[in-house]
Amino acid sequence: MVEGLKLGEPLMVIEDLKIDFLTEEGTVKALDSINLTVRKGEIHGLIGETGCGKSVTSLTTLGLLDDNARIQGGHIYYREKDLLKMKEKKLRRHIRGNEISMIFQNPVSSLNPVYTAGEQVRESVVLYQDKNKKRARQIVLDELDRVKLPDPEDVYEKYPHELSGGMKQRVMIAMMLACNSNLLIADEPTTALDVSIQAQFIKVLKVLQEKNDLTILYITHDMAVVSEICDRVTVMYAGQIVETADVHDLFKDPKHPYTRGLIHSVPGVKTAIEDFETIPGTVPRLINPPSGCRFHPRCEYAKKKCSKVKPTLEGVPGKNDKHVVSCHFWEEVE
Amino acid sequence: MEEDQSYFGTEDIDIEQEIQDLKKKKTSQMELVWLRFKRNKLALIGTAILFLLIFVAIFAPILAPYDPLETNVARRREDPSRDHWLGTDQLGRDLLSRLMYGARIALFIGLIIVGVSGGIGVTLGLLAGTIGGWVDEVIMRVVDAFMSFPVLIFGIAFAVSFGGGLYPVIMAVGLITWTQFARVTRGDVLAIKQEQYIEGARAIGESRFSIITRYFLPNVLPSIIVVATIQMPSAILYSAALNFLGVGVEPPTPSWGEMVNAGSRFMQFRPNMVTVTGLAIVVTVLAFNFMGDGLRDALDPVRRGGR
Repeated sequence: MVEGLKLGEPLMVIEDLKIDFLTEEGTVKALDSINLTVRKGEIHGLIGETGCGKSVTSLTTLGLLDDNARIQGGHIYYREKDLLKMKEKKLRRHIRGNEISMIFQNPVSSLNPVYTAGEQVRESVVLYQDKNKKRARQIVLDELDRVKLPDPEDVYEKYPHELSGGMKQRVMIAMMLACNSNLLIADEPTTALDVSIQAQFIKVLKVLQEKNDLTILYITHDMAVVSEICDRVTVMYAGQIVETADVHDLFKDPKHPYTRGLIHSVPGVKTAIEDFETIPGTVPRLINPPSGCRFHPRCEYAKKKCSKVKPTLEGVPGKNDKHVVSCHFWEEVE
Repeated sequence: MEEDQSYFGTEDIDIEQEIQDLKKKKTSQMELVWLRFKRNKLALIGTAILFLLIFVAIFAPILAPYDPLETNVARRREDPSRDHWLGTDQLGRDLLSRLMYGARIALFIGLIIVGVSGGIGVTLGLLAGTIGGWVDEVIMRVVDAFMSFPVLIFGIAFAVSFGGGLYPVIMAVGLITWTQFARVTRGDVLAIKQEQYIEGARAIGESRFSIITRYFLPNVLPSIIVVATIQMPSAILYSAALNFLGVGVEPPTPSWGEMVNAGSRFMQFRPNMVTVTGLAIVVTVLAFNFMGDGLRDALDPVRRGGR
């Protein structure tokens, strides 16, 4: 629980974050002035296509970027402290696990093959809850039970290779939940799961958020999951924030042409192939991103200005700055 | 469950007990490795020979028919006979007894050399792999430099400048054969670095030290064990070679290298001494290599699941 922070107050604020990656082919401008506010107690969805910078954003908050990443500017304020200015040691002691923990997308490789599932969850329990071995074991069993793993006693003794993908994913989640942190970053946590297990997992997250005042930054490209569990949603495109809004506003009344395209291109179970729309073109390579608005080459509303001037986030009137969109001509979009 | 029980007859089968038994039976990591290891017959033979060798080495004082240092000038350079199963050497000492005591020295030397080189190699490999950057660069260039060094020349120079004897030889061979450990460890670390559980460990706030000792080390251990079993025979060979050249264990202590050396001087008319000792070295080296091969296959995660 965060002292002195009420529900709905900003917990983490990302301001003008710019990150480049130095590669052999050139500089990849992975993040271009990202602005994002995660509020206490909400599930904040971060959606966008593969390679648009979702995961980079989350790794940056924990200081887990690769060596070839260069932070070119901006701030990440977590409870008013700038994480980017923090020393590695302080990050490790006070932020990772303690305040912010993270669920990774690939459950198959996210567990250490040489320890049993229980031992790995116990690692976070010992670090953040209780050093006593016997009590730690009991806490681990409770955590395993909390993520709906059948027969926790049995799972405790099992090595990762003896568990199925879905079970591993849940062990991983238990491991992160056992950290008792305030902010949970879930980076495409359900991509490797069956839909039925996905549904269970989403329920578990929702319950945790409501019971423990947990704040979740949920990174995904799955629009259906977003509409199901998120309170607020941020849409990213090619390293830029395109639109942020409450989930209902976003799905009912998307302002940005990209968001509209994204929502319309979700195939429903009953949609015929001819009926769903696609966004023409492909995601640009970020080594040489389009000038101005990065979406303009694919945008049907694009005008001359779009290729020259980079749009900034503007508030939609009447929404109290809760709905912001980054487009020069959003008012003209139908 | 109810119907099943009545079908089989309730008295004989306790379902609860069966379930408990089944749970206990689940195969552990070690058992799986053993199952795969068992399929390789050569590896099994090698292991058996090694156990025999270790047994002989430990119980040499009981098993050896003679004192290995006891000379008998009247019965020099004899062919195998009822009294001396393998014959005698140039001073009339029993060859079989000397061979048995020699096994002690050989195994001891091999073990210590692998310990020294493994300690150095694994530590440097872990550092190079986990820290990366210029540290990696420097360590790997040092590895290259050491690999280009002829082991025997370095061994002789080092051992002689430190006064000869057993320990300088051990140090010399250990100090120059660590490169394989470093390379394998670093390679494995680089691969494991990409795994998400390392990122996960960092995400829950594990310290760098505990990531190295609890995440990297246990995961490279299988490879290290394999390298160790393959380095063992070459360590024994190197020390025997140095011995043959006159550095290392001082006579009259029985060592295989020195025995081959002595035997080679009269191998035209009494080939038994050099043959028997040479054979002992060859068999030991092969046994280690077979076992190492088997272990590598059994522990190799790439081959897991497949046959």
